[in-house]
Amino acid sequence: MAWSSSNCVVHAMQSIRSPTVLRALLPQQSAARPNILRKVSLLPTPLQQRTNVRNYATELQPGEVQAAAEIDFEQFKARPARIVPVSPSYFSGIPKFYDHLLQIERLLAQHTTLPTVPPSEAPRRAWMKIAQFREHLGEEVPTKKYMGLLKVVYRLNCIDPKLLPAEVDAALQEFVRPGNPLGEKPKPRELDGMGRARGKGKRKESHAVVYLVEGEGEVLVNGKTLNEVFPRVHDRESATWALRCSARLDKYNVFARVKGGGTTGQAEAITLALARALMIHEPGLKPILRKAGVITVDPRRVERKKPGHMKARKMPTWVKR
Amino acid sequence: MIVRQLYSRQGRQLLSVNRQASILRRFQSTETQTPTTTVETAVKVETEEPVIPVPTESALDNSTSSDSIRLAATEAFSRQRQNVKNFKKLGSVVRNKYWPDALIENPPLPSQITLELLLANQTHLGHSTSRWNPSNSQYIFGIRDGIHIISLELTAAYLRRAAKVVEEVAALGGLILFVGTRQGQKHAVVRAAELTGGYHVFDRWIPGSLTNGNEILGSCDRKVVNAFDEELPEWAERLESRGSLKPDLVVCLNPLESTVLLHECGLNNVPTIGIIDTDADSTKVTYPIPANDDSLRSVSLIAGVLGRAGEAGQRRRFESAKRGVLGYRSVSLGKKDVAERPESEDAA
Amino acid sequence: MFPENQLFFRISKTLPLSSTSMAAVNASPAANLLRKSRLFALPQALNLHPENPTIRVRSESNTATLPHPIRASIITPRSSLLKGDWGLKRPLPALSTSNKSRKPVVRVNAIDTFEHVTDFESAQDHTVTLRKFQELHMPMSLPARANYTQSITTRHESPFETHLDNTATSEGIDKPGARRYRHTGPFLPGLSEADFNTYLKKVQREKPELLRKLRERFATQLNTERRKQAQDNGEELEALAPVQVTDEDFQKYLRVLRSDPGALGLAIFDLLDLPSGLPVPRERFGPDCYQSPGTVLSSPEYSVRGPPSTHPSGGISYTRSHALTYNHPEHGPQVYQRPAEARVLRRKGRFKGASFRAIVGVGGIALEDGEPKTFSDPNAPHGITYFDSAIPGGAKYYVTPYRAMMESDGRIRLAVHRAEPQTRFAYGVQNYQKPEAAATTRSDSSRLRRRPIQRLDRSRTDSLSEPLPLPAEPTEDVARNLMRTLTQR
Repeated sequence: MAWSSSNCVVHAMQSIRSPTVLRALLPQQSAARPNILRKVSLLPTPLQQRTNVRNYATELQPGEVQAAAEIDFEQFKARPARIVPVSPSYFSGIPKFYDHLLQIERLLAQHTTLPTVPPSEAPRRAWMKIAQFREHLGEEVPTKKYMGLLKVVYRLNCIDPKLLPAEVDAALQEFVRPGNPLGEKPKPRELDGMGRARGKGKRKESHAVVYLVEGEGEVLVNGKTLNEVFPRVHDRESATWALRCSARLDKYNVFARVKGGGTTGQAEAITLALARALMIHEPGLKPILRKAGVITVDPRRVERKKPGHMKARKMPTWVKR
Repeated sequence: MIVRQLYSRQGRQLLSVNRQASILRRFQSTETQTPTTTVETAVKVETEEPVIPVPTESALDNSTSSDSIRLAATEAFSRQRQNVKNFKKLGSVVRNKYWPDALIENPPLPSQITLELLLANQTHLGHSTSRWNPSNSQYIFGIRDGIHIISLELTAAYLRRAAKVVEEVAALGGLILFVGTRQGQKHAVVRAAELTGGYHVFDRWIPGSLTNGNEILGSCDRKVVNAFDEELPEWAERLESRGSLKPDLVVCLNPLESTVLLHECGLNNVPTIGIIDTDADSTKVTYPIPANDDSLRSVSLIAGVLGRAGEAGQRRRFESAKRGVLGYRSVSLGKKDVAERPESEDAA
Repeated sequence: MFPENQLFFRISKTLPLSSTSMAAVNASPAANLLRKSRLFALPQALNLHPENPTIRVRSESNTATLPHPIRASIITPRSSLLKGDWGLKRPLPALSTSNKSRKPVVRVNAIDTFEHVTDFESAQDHTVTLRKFQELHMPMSLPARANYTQSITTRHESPFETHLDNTATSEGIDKPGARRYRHTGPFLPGLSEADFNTYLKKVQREKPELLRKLRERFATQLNTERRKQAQDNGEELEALAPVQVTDEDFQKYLRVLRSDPGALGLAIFDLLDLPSGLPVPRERFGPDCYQSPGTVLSSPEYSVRGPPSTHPSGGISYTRSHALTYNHPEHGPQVYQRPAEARVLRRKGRFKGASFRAIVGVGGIALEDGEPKTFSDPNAPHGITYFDSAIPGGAKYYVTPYRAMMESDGRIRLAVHRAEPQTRFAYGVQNYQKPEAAATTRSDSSRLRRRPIQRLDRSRTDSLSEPLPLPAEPTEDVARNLMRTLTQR
């Protein structure tokens, strides 16, 4: 048929290109249109052939009432006429995502004049991660597009909570992670039945577990005294720094188990574990301990060695030949 | 303690002295790591009642004032909204106000196309003469300020023709797809698709959506509808065996970037309508509309007019459906089989 | 100078005008519409006045503001600005328009280029200069070189006077005493050699036409002579037949012209409508010099530097006189207008043996400060004689502008004098004073208690007799000054 290639289309079009004859030809063109569409798979021949030249529907007068046979509307309604996509974004490949996007953009345009609060004061909600969102929709949404969507969500979330319209709230709930993880606070840890507080800490390659009980200030590390384990004063100081800075040195007994790493790592792993255990006993000390820097995790680890380097970064001396 | 007293006693005098900072620094202690204040408190008591840091007066002040300000602002906003609601009908009415979104929200009908409208929406501005594609020579009116000027009469004629095409396709129940992937065209594309009851692509045309549709669009939902576009869920099972859908008409607002789309349409015998600027190849589309494709207003106008035409077509389709006439051949889904099935289910 | 800046173009709301105007009958309706569209109504870019060729090294920046605008400025309403819609080929990016300024103004160099971009730039430079100039409330005057010495102030002469506001085609050009600001021919002393050769070729091409005109001129000359003779002899004027010029006579006339440079010069200037420069003293150069007729240019400066490239008002001010009075709510109508702040751009000094005056900028226009070059004025404002980095915001002082003129290359020239203390006081402005000077010496305002403020509606003696009741100096300032002096000791 003539429409098999774009070139044929052009040849077919050439006849009606000229603007002077265009107007005269347009009605014929519209009459010939059903032939064009016949080729399209879904689009079938019209049952009624319009013989008269029709103008725009917008100008059409309602009239030309034909006497028709009585129609069984029940059957007519039950008869399938077409197969159509559910979403107007069908041809984008990820229709549900675009429907969501358009919906929240419409909401934003509608409520853009509402007063907002700074992002830091907006209500905290745990938004869906990209993987969760993909699973939720069942579509492979690109990360970048989801981030773009989240930006609009963030902006909507900044609307003053007192004035937040219900529809916006409902739309935002769509993007909240199920189970509301931010709402669940971890259970506060307590002393065990024997009055012990257990704390764990890591530093470099060392792992430490500390059991803290009320007592007279004795410290045992792996069954030995502090002096035996840490010959260096600095290590001893740092291991018990949590007690020292809060002036609790003589109030608690410490039993620590530590393994791995060197002396510094072990000492500072004990610091962290000890501070965490102390916080179970006295949560009110947290600001002091935070300020003293003993409950801050030091995540630094040894940098790996790279090929071509002598150590992590050291390069061999350059020799000319 | 000494420091504090000294400061309170001598503070004013110190303030006026230029070397104030250095003097103060001399009195400040650098070793503040060992607090000696709370040592004596009973441990037991503290564990039961966590110390709540008492907010200082200034901090308290700040928080309350900012809260009260926000509360007042919120109240004022609500009041103002109420006032607007109450007094909207009072006073003078400003008519014929310029509203930039009017073209998109309330586009003109195809019968309302005038040369003035086209001129006001910049459809006549072509590209730089060095960007000319000779296949457009018939649409070009002349040269001015180094750009080609597209003939307004031809734009109007071709736009009317395209509107008729859209209207007829809509009246025959075809799927009309609006594609405009340039920045800023989204609003116009979505609105035109909404008017026509059609479909939109405003982000990126995934290559192969037509030629390899089963892979790319296979998972997207479809439905079977009757002549009134009401869903018929009992036929849904029959859909799985059928391939993905293809549009029956594609309206492309930026043919220059949509080469792949137009090529796929050509391979699948899908007629296309495109805005052809002076640098685009007019043979790539079936129904060219010579116009400026860079200006958002020009594009919105053209998309809006086509959307209105599609709206009229849809209206015609529904009117004929109300008369019990299906203006097109219905889809065949193996009628008998399915018609029996609901009864058997009922029986079971 | 700013002819197109006066009206800001708003292309984005293009509305076609009514079709009642004179439209070309033959053109298509679209052509008629296009002709009336705002974008097509944008004026073409002007040519920049060519710099005179020189061997001096010029240190000029490519991005510097041009001496006068050459393209129209465009604005757009706020609602369209949000969408970047300026009525052009494509929306302009917000990053370089609305994000940079609340009221962006652009000028378009090219509507579309090969790279698919609209070439535009901000036009704030000239629009803001124009706005600042309009705030000075100055009428434009015809230029006169008289401001080297402050004592001589030339009379204000508006370029809009009927006998001055003429071109070659004006109606009143033939009236006695009429002068004009433009000729159809070029200003020969201002042409470069290449331009002059081009012009010569053009003249050679028009030779037959020029000869015809010369012949007519010769005929009228003969006729007037003949008429005069007849009048002297008492003959009847009506019976006089016009003199027929034969080819022989004309050739003879040409030979006479060739041999007499004085006569030829006059004829050529008349034929080609060239602006004549200053008269050349013949006794110095001898009889071989081509004589030029007396100048008819509206200003003597234009005959030296060439006629102005625009109208002498430059389109930046349309008032004829400076008859504006500011009425102070307390002190009544003022003699002087509101002083404008001048920023010291370069202090006065010496360079390679040559001394120069300070250069100051007033309302975006650079000019020389009026202070003498050689000796220094003890009352000079701060920062003029030496650079002082301690002055916050740079050295500034107040001046009263009194003349604004358009130079022949299209630059604005402004003449100012320093604002008198009483003027400054009347308007509540003060020159910068060093803190310690303000505290120790008597300030302007305190000195002014004894000084009258000049008013238009009262003579000086009157106002002297009744000293003005001044608002008491705020005690807070006194205390602060005292505190500062104490702490700095």
